[in-house]
Amino acid sequence: MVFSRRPRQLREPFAYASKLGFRLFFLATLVFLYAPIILLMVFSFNDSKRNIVWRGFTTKYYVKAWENTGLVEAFINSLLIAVVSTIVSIVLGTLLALLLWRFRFRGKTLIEALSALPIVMPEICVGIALLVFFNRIGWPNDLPWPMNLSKIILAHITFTFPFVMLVLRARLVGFNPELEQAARDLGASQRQALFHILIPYLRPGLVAGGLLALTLSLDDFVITFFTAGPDSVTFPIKIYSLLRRGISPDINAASTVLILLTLLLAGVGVWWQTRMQKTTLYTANRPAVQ
Amino acid sequence: MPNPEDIARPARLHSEAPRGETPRPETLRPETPHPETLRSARMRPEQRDSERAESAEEVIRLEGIAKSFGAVTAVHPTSFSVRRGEFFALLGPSGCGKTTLLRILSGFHPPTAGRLFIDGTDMTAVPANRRPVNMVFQSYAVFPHMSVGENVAYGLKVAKVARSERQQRVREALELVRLGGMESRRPAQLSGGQQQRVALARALVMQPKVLLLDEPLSALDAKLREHMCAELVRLQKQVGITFLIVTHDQAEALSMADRIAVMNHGHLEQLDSPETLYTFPATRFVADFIGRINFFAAEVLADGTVEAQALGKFRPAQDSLPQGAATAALRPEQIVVSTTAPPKQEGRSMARGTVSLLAYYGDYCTAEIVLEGREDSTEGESEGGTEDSPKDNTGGQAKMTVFIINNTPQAREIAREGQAVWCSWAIRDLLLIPQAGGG
Amino acid sequence: MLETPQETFQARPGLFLVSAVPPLLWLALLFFLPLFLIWGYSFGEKRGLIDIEVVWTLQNYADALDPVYVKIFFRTLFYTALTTAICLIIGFPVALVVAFADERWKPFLLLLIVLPFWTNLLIRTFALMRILGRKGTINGILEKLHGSLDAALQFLGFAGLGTFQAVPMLFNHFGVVFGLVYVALPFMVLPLYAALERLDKSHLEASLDLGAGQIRTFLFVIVPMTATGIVSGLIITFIPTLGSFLTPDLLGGPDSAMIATIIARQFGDANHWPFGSAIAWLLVYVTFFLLALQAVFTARRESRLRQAGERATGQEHGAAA
Repeated sequence: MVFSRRPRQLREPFAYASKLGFRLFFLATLVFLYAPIILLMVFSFNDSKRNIVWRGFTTKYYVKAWENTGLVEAFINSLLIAVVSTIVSIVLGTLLALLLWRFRFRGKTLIEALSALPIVMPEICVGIALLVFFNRIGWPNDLPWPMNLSKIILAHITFTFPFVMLVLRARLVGFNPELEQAARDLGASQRQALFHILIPYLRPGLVAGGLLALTLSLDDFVITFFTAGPDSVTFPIKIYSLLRRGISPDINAASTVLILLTLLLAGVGVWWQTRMQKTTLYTANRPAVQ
Repeated sequence: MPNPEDIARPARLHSEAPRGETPRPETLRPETPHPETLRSARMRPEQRDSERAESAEEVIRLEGIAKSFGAVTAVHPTSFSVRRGEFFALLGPSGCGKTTLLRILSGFHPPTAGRLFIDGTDMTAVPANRRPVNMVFQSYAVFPHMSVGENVAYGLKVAKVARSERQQRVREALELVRLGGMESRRPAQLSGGQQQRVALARALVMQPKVLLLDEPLSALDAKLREHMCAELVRLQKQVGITFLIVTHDQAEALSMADRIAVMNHGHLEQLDSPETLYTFPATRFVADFIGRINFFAAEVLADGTVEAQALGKFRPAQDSLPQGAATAALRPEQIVVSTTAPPKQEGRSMARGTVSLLAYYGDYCTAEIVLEGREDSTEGESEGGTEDSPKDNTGGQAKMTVFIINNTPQAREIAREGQAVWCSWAIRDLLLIPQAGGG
Repeated sequence: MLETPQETFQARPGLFLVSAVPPLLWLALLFFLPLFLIWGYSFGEKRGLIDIEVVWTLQNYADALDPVYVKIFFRTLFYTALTTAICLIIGFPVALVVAFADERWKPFLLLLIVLPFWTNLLIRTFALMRILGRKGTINGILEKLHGSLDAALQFLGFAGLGTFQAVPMLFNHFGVVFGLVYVALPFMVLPLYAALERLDKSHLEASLDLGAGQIRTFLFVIVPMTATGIVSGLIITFIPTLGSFLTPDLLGGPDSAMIATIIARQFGDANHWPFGSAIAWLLVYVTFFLLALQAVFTARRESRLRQAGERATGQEHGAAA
């Protein structure tokens, strides 16, 4: 034998992302996660009731979905609920985050644990609890639009604002309190220091928390299902009732619209976050001390 | 098929001549002399001894090892050897490639080019867990979920060493690092210094061919660091294992190592004993990085004499300097300061100046002395003066830093700002570094 | 670590009250009061179509021990445990890939894993129905393959395969567990990723340096050092899966009911609120128990490791300075 074998190439020991087996596994997981959604979107344009054979491009199911007034109304309801509950959630979540970050008081650990409870509590329990609650206090069921959505909005705020609080607390961990002290040192009042320094610092967290609240609200089915009155229908509820009657292609079309909307929101969120990180004037870390 | 022994042992490389095999763009000037020739004039006997010791067996050899991360080159092709049983230091500023080199040795980074031999065997493609070297990590990396004893026993357990022998060796290793009887402690119960000793014991118990230490003292406070320095030297003598330490602290390297490889920008600048590095730095970078030094722009003339800013014209001790721009360097402790003009002496030179800045360090002061410009000195071309360091005398006022030992009658006279003084030095102490070596 | 301001009520009473009262009042009124209300109802008795009186009876809890319901409880437990285990098996390699990926790719890979989580749950379930159904994508592909194979065999003179039988994947146990895994996977990956991300890589290198291989390093260093992340991943996956309503409802068959299905039925067709409340509270108790378990585990683990970890990070900062 004349040729000599090239020695086996040594690799970085923990670069799992560059190992073939791990790569294939990761890819398979992505296929598992994305294939159903992508197929749903693709076949919403398919000119056939079955979703395996491509029979040509059509937008007729979008037209059909658009003409379905019940579906469009449900969509508008969902958007309205999401926007209103997000705004209130941001306010409540910010206040709670500030309280838990800034103050030292008795029972703080308990309050901290309790305020995260809505996040982990099974939705079905929250849903029926609110159903019983609204029933017991006799919240009117026959209010005109949009007040008939009030129960749903109150319910959504209840489970979304703790999420906003969590996002903001994560952001607050990186805040250097000396920045606020510096503002005070330069003559700002306590109130000014709060609004000139801390709130602007929180902005990326507010955007992220807001987007999360918006998505959670648009997404929710279980809690909405139990708090919705007979005439207050949201998009997921509408889809659910259509699904119970059987799969039809216009659900594909309507779902695609909502997916794209969510993707758009997520995209805006990511873009905003990276922009904020690039332009933010605050550094999370103090200068290293020699 | 070629005999593996042939691959493993090609012609011996001159460990102290990295530039011979690896031409660097900056040093392409053919007339650049080898540091060896620069120093030949003033060779002291003990240095000749250390040269002889070079024939001792080498335990690590790097042949053109290089590493780049994407477009970034961390280590340019580098070759050198580490001798068996020595205390070897890789010294350089952060980002100079020394840690990358260490991680190539330990097997965590595959090199982009070149070959690595450990104890004569090609280890370039051998994964980290099959290399006969062990490492003390900068963060110590003591496993927090294992007791001290389990930490030290981990490698032996992996190697399937019998239980009774394992216990014996763990005990011995812990005693070696003065943690005897601490087997059952948890890392969380130990101080930083103690955790480091666990990391040391854990690596030493494996009886590695080479013990690699990544900045082992950087996390310790000043007092503990001094203590640990001595401790590491003691340990190395006691166990006789080759130590390879990576550090950015020149004092650490000088005080501990038998030989030091100075790195900068991914290049090996110089590999020598601490004394040689300090006394005969091969490049301007080494001169500047190790200890304090004063630089003066200089030019080597055709007749072999040197014209230096503020220092005047003189005939240097070194022979065969390349003609052209150079840097003259003088260590502060080689300068004698007095308030009156010292008597003229053969082989000594002097300059008048004014004390401009004093810094007090307790046992001594450093004084910055602004030298009077000399009419006969040629103005140094400022091309070499890319760095804005005050000791870089390439134009304007020439300054030199000197040491003044405090609490002497002399010091009380000199250590006053604005005081007119005389500085004198032996001409043979002036070190000349050709411009190409400047970097 | 930056210290947080430790102000007291006395220092800034205005800000304290403004930030404390609205959110805490909201939580008390719209979260804890309703839960307390159904807690009371769970000891109640139905006195007519909508009349319920709280009589402090344990009858509703006793009713839950009926074999019909016990069977559903065990089925729920089985689904949930299976789902959590599958998520861990899939989630760990995925988290490893993301956590040890190149810094430039990390946020992108993480986004890829989380993005489906942002899509509407109902739509995702619906998408699965279209994939798994008798006339769904997978069976469609299988039918094509079957057809080709059948034609090939007949061409070669063998007996044909007969008519195609669709593989039942929907409205059965398979469909439910598939859907539960599909929904819960990000819940598992995120805590695992966070734990791996926090892990000081030099510990893994130390293990390799001491001669251990990849598998030993994984079992004896990575797993123990990310144990809190694994436990929180398990629990954070387990709890919502336990209370799943939509997935068994849409993807399951007649014998795929889970706890949430029973609860929903009591507030729907069955119209037995006290019994539904009792079962809901059983679910709440289990949730509390799991959360407490996690808290205890984390606290014990952290107290054993914390000091060491803090020292290690402190040293890193010191070195960077």
